[in-house]
Amino acid sequence: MSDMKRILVIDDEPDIVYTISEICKFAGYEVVSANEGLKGVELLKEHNPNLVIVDYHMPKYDGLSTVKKMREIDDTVAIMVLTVDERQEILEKFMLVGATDFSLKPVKAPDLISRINVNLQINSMQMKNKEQEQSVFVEKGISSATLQMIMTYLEEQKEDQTIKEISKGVELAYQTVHRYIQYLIDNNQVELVSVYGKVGRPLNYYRLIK
Amino acid sequence: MSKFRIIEKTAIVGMTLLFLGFQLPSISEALWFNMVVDVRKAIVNGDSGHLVLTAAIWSIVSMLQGVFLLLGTTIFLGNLVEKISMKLGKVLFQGFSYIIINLVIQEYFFFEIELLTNILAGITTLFLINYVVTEKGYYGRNFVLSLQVFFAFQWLNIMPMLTFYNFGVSDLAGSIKIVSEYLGSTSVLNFIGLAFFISLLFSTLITTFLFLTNDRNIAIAKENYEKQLTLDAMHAKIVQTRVYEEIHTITHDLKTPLVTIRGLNSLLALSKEPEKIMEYTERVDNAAEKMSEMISGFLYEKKRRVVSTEEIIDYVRAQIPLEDESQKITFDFDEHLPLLYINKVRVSRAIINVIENAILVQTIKPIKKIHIRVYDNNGYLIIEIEDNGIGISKSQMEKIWEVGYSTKATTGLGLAFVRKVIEDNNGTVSMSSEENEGTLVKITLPNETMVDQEE
Repeated sequence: MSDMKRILVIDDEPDIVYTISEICKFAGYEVVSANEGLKGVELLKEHNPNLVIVDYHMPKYDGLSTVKKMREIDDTVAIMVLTVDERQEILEKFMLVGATDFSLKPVKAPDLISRINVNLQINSMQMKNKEQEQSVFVEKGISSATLQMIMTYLEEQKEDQTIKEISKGVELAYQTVHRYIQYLIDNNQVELVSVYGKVGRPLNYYRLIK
Repeated sequence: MSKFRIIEKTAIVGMTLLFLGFQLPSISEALWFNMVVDVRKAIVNGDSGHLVLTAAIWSIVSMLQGVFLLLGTTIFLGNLVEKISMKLGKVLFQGFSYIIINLVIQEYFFFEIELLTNILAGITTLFLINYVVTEKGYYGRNFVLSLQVFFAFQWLNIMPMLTFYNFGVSDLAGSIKIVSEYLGSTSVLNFIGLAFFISLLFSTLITTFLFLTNDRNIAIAKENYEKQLTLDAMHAKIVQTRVYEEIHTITHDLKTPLVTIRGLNSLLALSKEPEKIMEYTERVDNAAEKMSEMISGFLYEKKRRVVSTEEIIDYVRAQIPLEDESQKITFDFDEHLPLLYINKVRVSRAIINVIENAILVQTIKPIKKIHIRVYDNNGYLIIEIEDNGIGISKSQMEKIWEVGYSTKATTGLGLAFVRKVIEDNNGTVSMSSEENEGTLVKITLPNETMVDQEE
């Protein structure tokens, strides 16, 4: 029973709460839900979920404040933000306050389930990190579990990868991968290789610096 | 190639004018002869009237010669002069060339010219042309101005009192003056010469002034035209921005039911439980219905329906930008708020606009505070949005409702749009402000029972 993973769903739209909850239940997870941010924070304290799925736009207590508050309370829980906004700069704000990943609306059940699974995996890695008294966040917005995951993936690849390919490979949102790759480039662990095709902009590939 | 041709053309015109100037005395030989005859008549008859007439004809002929020489010189030099950037430089260059030509005529041609008046009139004209008629290629203007100036100066030549200063030293002018002495009518010629000189100079001034005024009017008209163009462009941009914002809002709204539709539909494909199928399909259908309603609300501005105030508030709150440390947004809602009969998307957009204005306005206070109060007043819903920004001065207050007006260097679409939407929905907007203290915007909307509802 203790193995049963628990997911907290927060959205002001009852229809969306219902839909996401049904998908989570189908995937075999226990679900608790709230229709506003503050209530969600209460439920987090009460139920100790492994993953939180939270909406970006909410009246009263918006998504950003909710994520910030929850991260203060729990540093290992995976937090996935549901959004229609694809802009990197907006989503990076969320990562800075502690979101681990994103899911762009509208989402299909199978995709959401695999995204949920990856985030749950990140959560258990984070919990293990904490048990071993390692740092859970390398810096603001960069969780060690996600970083580990992306690094492992890149090590396994024989060819250079685009962000899209990495995103597909590790099953994390494009924006999330983009942020981490940027971090790795800044720390000289990954290098950028631009390939100029016949038409259009160059394709950016990334590879580990060994 | 084409530039070369223009140089050629001006050179030809210039040469022709110069040639006319050189040849004028021989072309008008008959006229000169007549003048000499007239002078003799004056002596014989003791008639100073003939003398004045001769003086006038002589002035006209000399004027024409001077004008041809001057314009010939400037047009011939044409493009060469354009290379000189300083106006004084241009005047000096043209003036110098003109004087040389006059000296050449004086020295090598068989007829005399009035060197002093030619030079004085020439320099005066050149100053006027270069400093007043700034556009190049205004040949008509140059001609009109030089005619007047030269005519004015020629009259100095027949004034006996100016002989001492080397005016009127040519044969004919000299003869006219000698005859006038003989007839005892020097004062007549002095007076007529001076009268013509002054009035012609005066008319030159008036012409110059007219040209200047005309230029200024044209410049103003041009400026207004350009202003109108930018205003039009701004207008278009405003509409575009508003449409874009509305599209942004509506796409966001549309995605909400789409999450349900796509999520549950994809779950239907996976789910093996038959009892879930009914439940999911019903939910999917509801979501599709909601979407359809939203789309018609967006497509038809006039489309209105009964909406609860709470629905509007939630809708607005979900869309106002995220809070940060520098600003605090507080809310205060009454318990029982009325139902409204409005176009939800547009009214919400209008309210968001007002809130965005409050967020954007600068403040001198340490923290920007925005307070939003919603209450019922005898069946009317009142929405008050108050900020502690720098406020709006009385002079600006009258302009804020105009389309395109903005104190923030943004598009200025805000208030004109807000007022239109609120009035379209039977409401009113008012605004009061105190400089450096803040602004209060009050939106009043009647409840649904007070509005005629159309089907």
